[in-house]
Parts: sequence; C-alpha cells; structure tokens
Amino acid sequence: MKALNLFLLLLVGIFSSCDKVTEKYLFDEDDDEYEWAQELALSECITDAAIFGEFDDAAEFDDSNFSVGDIFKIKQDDNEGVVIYAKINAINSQDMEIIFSSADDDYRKIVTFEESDHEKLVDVFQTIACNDDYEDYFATSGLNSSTQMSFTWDLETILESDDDDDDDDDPEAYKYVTKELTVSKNYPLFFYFYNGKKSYEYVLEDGDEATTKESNITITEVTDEDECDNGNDDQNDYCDFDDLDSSSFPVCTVEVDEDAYSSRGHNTNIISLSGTDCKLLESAGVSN
Amino acid sequence: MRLLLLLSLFSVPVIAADEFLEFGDKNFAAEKTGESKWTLRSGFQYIDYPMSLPAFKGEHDETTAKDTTGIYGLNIAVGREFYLGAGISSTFLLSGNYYKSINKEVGIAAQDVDVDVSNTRIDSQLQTYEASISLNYLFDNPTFDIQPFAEFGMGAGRANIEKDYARKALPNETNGSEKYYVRSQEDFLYSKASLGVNIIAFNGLISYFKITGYAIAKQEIELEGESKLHESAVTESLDSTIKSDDIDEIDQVYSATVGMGYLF
Repeated sequence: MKALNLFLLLLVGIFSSCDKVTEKYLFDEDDDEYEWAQELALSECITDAAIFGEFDDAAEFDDSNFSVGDIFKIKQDDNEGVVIYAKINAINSQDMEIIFSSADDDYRKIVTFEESDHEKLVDVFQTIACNDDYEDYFATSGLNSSTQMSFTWDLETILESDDDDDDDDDPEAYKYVTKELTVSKNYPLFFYFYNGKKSYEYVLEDGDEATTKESNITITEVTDEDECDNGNDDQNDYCDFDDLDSSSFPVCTVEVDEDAYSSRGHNTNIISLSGTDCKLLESAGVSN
Repeated sequence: MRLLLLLSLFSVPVIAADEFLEFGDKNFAAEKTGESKWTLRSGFQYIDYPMSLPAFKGEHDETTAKDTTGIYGLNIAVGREFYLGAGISSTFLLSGNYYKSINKEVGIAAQDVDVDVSNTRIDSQLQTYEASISLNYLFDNPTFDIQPFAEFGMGAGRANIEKDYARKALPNETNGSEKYYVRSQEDFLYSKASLGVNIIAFNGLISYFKITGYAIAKQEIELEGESKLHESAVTESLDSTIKSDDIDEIDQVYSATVGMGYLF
C-alpha cells in the first residue's frame, strides 16, 4: 500500500511539473540596455500604480476636487496638542490659496500652492516609489489604491561615526528621523506633510542616552459647520474663518525640492515654505 | 486535463482494491501465467517532441529547425496478452495518448532591475493513436513477477504547437520591440520500438516502465503567425502550409513512460 501511494505521489509530482516557468537575466551593468531597462522599470511601475493616475487627474486645479470654503483640521498629539485649521480660500487654474489658522501664531499663514508644485510632488512620489536606487530608505505602500499611498522615509545625520573599539556597528552620536506619511487625493497634495507619524531619535554626544520623540499628526475634513461656529471652545474659534482677520498673516508659497529624496540629512524635507515667518509644523522636536 | 489524468490514475488501483490487503498471499503468475488475458494500462509519458517552426533569431530567443519541446502526457491502452508458452507471451495493445505542456521563459532585465523585458511561451498539445505488439518473458517470483518486454508499434498523431515570444522596446530604442508568434498544426505518422519491464503483483496489478524510440514522419504542417525583428519596422507573415513532399526528414524522438495496468 505504501509503495502504491508513493507511486501515485510520484505520478502526481510528474504531472504537476507539466507547466514549467523559467527565468533568465538579460543584461549586465556594462550593457547599454541596463540603464534603459532601469528607465523601463520606472516607467512601468508608475504606469501600473493606480494612485499616480489619480494624482495626475487631480493636477488640474480648475477641475479640482476641492471647493473654496473647504476646511481641514490638522491635529498633532505633541507640542501641546497643536491644532491647525486650513481653509481653501481661492482656486484657479494656476494655484490654490489656503489660509492656515491656529491658536499658535507660528502656524498662521496664507499659503499658495501652485499646480506646478502638485506635479513636482507627484514626480517625487513616483521616484521614491518606483526607483530602486532609493529603496534602502524609502518604503511605499498603497500604490494600487485609488485614494492614497503611504511612504516611510528614514533620514539620518551621523554626528560621530562608530568607534572601532566597541562591538557594535552603530555611530556614537547621531540624529535619526523616520517619517511615516500618507499622501491622499482627498487633501491638497502637500498636506501629506500633516498626515502621519514622525519619529526622532538622537544621541548628541558619545555616551549620552538615546532620546526618542514622536509626533502623530492627523488630518480630517471639517464637515460639521457647528464645529467652526463662534462660541464653541477656544480651539474651534480658529476655524471660524468668516470672522477671522487674516490680513496680518504672512504670505507663503510652497516650494518643492525635487531632489530631496537623494539627501539623507535628518532635517531634509520635500516641501518647504518660502516667505517671511513661514513655518510648516514642528514635529517630534524637528522643525519643519 | 489534470482531473482526467488523476481519475484515470486512480481507477487502476480501485479495480484491484479487493486484493490490496492480500499482498503476498496470492501470486498472480501462479494462477494465470499460463493463459491469455485482457489488459488495461495507463501511464504518464514524457516526450521531447521536435517542433517544425520557422527559424527566428531574436535578441533573447532563437527558434531553429532542430528545436524540441518537452511534453508530458497520459496514455491509455487496452489489449490482450497471448500466452505462447515457456513464460513467453505477446501483448497486442491499442492505445491513445494525449500530451499537453506549457513552457514559459521570462527574460528579466537584470538581477537588480526587476522588469520583464521578454516573454516566451510554448504551448504544446499532442494526440496520438497507435497499435503495438510486444514480446514478453515472465520471471516468476514468489510475491511478484518481473516481465521484461520489447515492443513495436505504429501510429498516427497530430501536434498543435503555439510559440509566442515578445520583447518590449526599451526607452531610447527605435523599433526595439520584437515579436515572434506562430501556431502550427502538424499531422504525422510514426513507428516505434520500446524496451521496458512490467512488475506484476496484487493478482494482476502491473507497474511498468519503458523507454521508447520513435521515428516520426510529418505529413503536413500548417503554419500561421508573424514575426518582427529588433530594430526593424517590418512585420513578416509566417503563414504557410508544408506538404509531405517537401518534408524529407524523419525525426528521431525518445520518450520515457511510467504507468500502471491490470491483467484480467
């Protein structure tokens, strides 16, 4: 009986091997085609990722998903629980203007986000998701989603390299920043900055204990008008944009650093704000 | 196809199920070696079938007239074993064979560039029908018998082969893509000679193994398809029909078969 079973297993094994798939590698690094194949890989990754199609569709500001008057609430769990309200104040085919209001003076501003910056951001997200050169410090997910993608970005500044005399391979002093952020088409694209978790670990001098800080930032659309009615709690006063005098707010413009992904410094950012007194948000003890 | 094969495979032991627990108690040869009997057999076979596809030399795939494709299949045979005396017998079998395999080769750019640049698929189907006769000699042992045999046969068959190769154009290439698609239907006649051994136990249950050499004479080959070479903008038709008068080669092919059967 055992012999029979063995025989049957053998035959099933043979049969299951009827369909055969083999793989071979076509190019070496020295071949011209190697570089072209890298371009092809990047292009196919971008084409296959549904989310980039969604982001591309959202690049036409005059056909935007957003309307003037849309309000978003940004809340960070540290830094004394900072809350920022952002209202879309104007949209045209070139840019959108967003008023940021908060109890914290640092975060009150009027920001212009240009359509070209939306496109630059999409390019950046495509690169970090699809270019293997950056896979050591970027990890992405949700590329097949139709609403949002996420990425994790590991940044570091080494203040003092590893001492050969110790057993580990770790630097003696460093600043490590990890950003786990979500890019959603439900918000203006640069709002990814306010959507996720930022962690900061540092040892400033050899021998110090490692210090870790963490910030969780959430963003939601304010759909309940009552939340912004004057007379509710103090925080919510800052989303009553009808009574808000923004004339003194600094005017800022979003700037996209298209090469930021190739930098490793702990304070590297893809976006920044140009203009006097323009500050995005300090999280986990790291500015902007 | 897989279900059919498995059903066939399991049907043989079921026939002899009553005797399974009596292994060693009954010796088949003692009861029936001296008489003629019917036989039913089923086996798996591997054949390296010679394709007759138009030649093509692409960047990552080449097709030549000598190419073969490995195909797995099932054969089912019925017949009668005629006892001739002194342990010698002759078995006449009528059999049908069906083979099908799909072989794919994926050309990945490089170890650290995970993008498929080329894909090759060969889908092969083969059907044959044959008559064969074998000369057997039985070594009668206490628990199971060993029966070496030499077999000769003739048959006819049809092969349907489809080969599809495509290479993507890389950025910076002009007319970089390649394509070779061809579908062939081949009718053929063949003769064969086999050497093998039957192991007979369980009151008539047979396990067998044989190696076969075929001489295949293709009668007609119908081809349909097209090809396009790298850096060429021209797509060539591969449609044609080759008649037996234009086919002067006889292909030598070898196969191995393992199977089971029943004598009753």
